[in-house]
Formats: sequence, structure tokens, C-alpha cells
Amino acid sequence: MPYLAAAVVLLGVLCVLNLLLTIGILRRMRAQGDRSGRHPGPLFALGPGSPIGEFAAVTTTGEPVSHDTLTGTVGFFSAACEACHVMLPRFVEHARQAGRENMLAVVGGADAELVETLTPVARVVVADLDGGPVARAFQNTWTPALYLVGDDHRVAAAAATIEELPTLTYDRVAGRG
Amino acid sequence: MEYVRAGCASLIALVFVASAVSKMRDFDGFARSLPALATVRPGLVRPLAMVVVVAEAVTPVLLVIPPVTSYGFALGFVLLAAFTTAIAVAVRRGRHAPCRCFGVSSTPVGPRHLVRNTALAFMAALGGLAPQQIPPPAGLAVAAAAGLIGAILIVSFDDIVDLFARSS
Repeated sequence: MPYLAAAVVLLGVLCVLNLLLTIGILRRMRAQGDRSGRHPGPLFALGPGSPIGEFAAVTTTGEPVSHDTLTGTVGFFSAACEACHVMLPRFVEHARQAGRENMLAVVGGADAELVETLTPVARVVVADLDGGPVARAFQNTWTPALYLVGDDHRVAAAAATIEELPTLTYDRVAGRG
Repeated sequence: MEYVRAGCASLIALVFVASAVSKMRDFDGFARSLPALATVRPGLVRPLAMVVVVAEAVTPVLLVIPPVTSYGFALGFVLLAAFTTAIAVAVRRGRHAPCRCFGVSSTPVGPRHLVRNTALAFMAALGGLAPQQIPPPAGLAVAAAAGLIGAILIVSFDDIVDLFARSS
């Protein structure tokens, strides 16, 4: 009898270990699927040279923004987006250098904290979680996303981080050295 | 029936331990994810997050102390009912925010979470209504082990459902 009990316990422990292992593999698989499967194709629909679509929006401070007037850096943020919050300090620093009139931040979803942080350094457009009209004009489905818009109102560069954004081009576009 | 109670207690306690620990590890992230799920005034987001985490941490403690196990079941049931309601409202409004149920997740809330929470609430009710007897140690161990396996399955529910949802 004791052997039987010991054997059952051993089997039970083995089964639980097996279950944990299976779930571990499942998680790993899923993480890979998230990286490759859910976002097929390039992250940015608009690359350098692409014209941006038509849109008109009003910032939190009441300034109108449209595809005709937009130049400089456009950043897409959304609520509950970890990477956006990680990038935020770098974005704010970049915005201080570039000047408020050269920065547009689009905040998807309700995130008062994010809007509050961005408002002093950039023009902020608050939109639905999907990003609203500005995101549609950029065909942007991903946050954080950064676009550099040249004087010709075409996309000059698209990046996922501030570091990837070409600052030299930016300085020329914005007319600042 | 006392085994049912012990098994349910083990299951609910472990699920809430996993939930509370994952939320404490990334409390700010959890607090930030709340407004997308439920309509709360900005000033109340952090207190609400705090209340949820504390309640989740208290539930397993109550469940493992025999005289107050019933309160543990009741608290667990109330929490699960509240979460289920919040998810149901979010789904109806078309808000597909990720569920921070067990830590960082990219899975938006959906009907599957309603199914999961309803099942858990059912287990809490079942455990709470079962006769209050402490089973013999060997039986208790088997019931607790069954609860452990159930809890593992519930915590990784998203991964498991996703596996089958993807292949079909």
C-alpha cells in the first residue's frame, strides 16, 4: 500500500510538472505569434515619400490641425500602452528641443495623465482608442508610432522609437539647427 | 461534499494569489489599464486599483483559515461578480482593452473572460454552499491538488483558448 501511495504522489507531481511545461511552451509560442503573426507586413503603412491622407482635427487647446498645415514630428500614443509610457520622457525631451509647433501627439483612448504630460510640449489631439481621423490619415494601427512630416506634407520618416527618428533630417525640416 | 469545499477553496485561493501577485508586481500598469475597462474618475483610479488588489490579496487568506472560509468564498464571489460585470459592460461598449487579470497581457477582454469568470464565480458559490466539514488530511491533500491543477488551468486560460482559437 505505501508503495502505491508513493507511486500515485510521484505520478501526480510528474503530471503537474508536465502541465506547467506545456503551458510554458504555449506562452512562448504565443509570444512569438504576437510578434510575427498578428502584425503581418511592415509596421508602418506609410513610408518615406508617402503623402498623408486628408484629416482635420482640433487639439486640446483648441488649435485646428489638418493635413495641409501639418509638419514636424507626429507621435501616436494610446492608453494602457506600456511602450508609450516608456518612450514618453524621450519624446518630451525631443519635443522641448523641436518646439511645440513642430510636435503633434495623438492620444488614443482616455489617458488624462498622458495628455497632461504632453500638452505643455506638444499639440495634443485626443481620439478614440483606434486613434481617430489622424491615425486613419496615417493608416497607423500601432502605438507608439512616430512620423516625421516634411514641408511638402509627405512622410519623411517613420519610426517606433525616438532614437530611430533621423534628427538631422528633422532639423532641416523644422528649420532649426 | 466537504471535498468539494476544500477543492473550491484551494482553486479560488490560488487563482486570487496569482492575480494579486501579478497586479502588485506591476501596480502602475494595472492602474493605467483600469480606465480603459471601467468608467472611473481620474482621481479614483489609483484608490480603486488599490482596493481591488487588497481585496484580491485578502481573499486567499480568508479561504485558508477554516473558521472564516465562508467569508473568503463570499468575498471571492463578490469580486468575481464585479469583474464579470465590468468586463460585460466593456465588451458591450465595444472597448477591447487588454485584460490585466493575470499580469501583462495583450488579449483584449471578450466573451471568453466572461465564461471564465462565471465558472470561477460558480465554483466560489459551490464551495461556499457546501457543508462546512474539514475532511481527513489525505482527502484534503487530494482536493487541494485538484484545486491547484484547476488554478493553473484558469491562470493560463488565455494561452489555452488562444491555442485552439488559432488552429481552427
